[in-house]
Amino acid sequence: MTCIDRSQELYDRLVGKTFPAFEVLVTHDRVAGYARSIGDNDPIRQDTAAARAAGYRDIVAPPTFGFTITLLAAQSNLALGDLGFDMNEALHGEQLFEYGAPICAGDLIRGVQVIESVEDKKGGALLFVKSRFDLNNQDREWVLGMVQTSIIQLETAE
Amino acid sequence: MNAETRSLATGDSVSLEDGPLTSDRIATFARFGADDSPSHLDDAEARRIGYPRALAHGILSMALAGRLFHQALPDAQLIRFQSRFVAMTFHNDVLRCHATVRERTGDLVLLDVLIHNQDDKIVMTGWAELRCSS
Repeated sequence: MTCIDRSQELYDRLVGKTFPAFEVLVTHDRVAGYARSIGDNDPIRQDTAAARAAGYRDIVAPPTFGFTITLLAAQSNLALGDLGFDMNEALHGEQLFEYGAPICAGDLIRGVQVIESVEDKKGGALLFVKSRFDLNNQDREWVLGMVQTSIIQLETAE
Repeated sequence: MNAETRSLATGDSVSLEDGPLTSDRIATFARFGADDSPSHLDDAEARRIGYPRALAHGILSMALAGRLFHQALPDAQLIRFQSRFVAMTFHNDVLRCHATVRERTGDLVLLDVLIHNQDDKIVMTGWAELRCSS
């Protein structure tokens, strides 16, 4: 690993960086398991027949599921990696979801990440990395916009 | 479906509790949520990075709020949902989510969201905008 010189110049250069598009297939097991693990037992999240009766293609992802799509596509480590960090060292600071068409099991989601800002705060003790994602489905419908802020605690010795 | 919740007016509040967030539950979420970072699963690894102990996922707090919206306004569509994770959450925390109607204009509802832990410390703040079907 090369040593990354974290400087305002690097931060400025990363703003606006667009990463290659990614694709994630949303599986039935993933949606149902995710819903159960957050305690959401609505039949539209578990049972295809119930979801279809409610007018959906298949079981519907909970509102926070888009974050997991970015993780499945290993997107968090891209922006952080450019700064010499990985996800394990980052706190999830802020999250915005903007909702379009529903995300259902069987969907092939295509997304793009753009770095919105990289800023140090608290006299350089914290680094805030903000990325925007836009996701579309296989029918080219926009399903989700997200803005995610990761916070890194920088070592004061640096 | 539920006339009482459908009539949520400005100033009205709803709430939902989740927890304790057991280590098993967090491990299951780590698997399905695709975030199995050691800082969420292992106290020693969390301490190495500078956290007091293994963390619960921030997005689990947001997911609790999402369940509350769906429960309180089952026919509403979420338009936007913003959160700030203001304090860390940990294994075995009990989270209480409160959503208060800040504004209701026609079929649009704006909710303020707060999540406290078992010590009454605020761990998440946020807001959500929903559209109710008429």
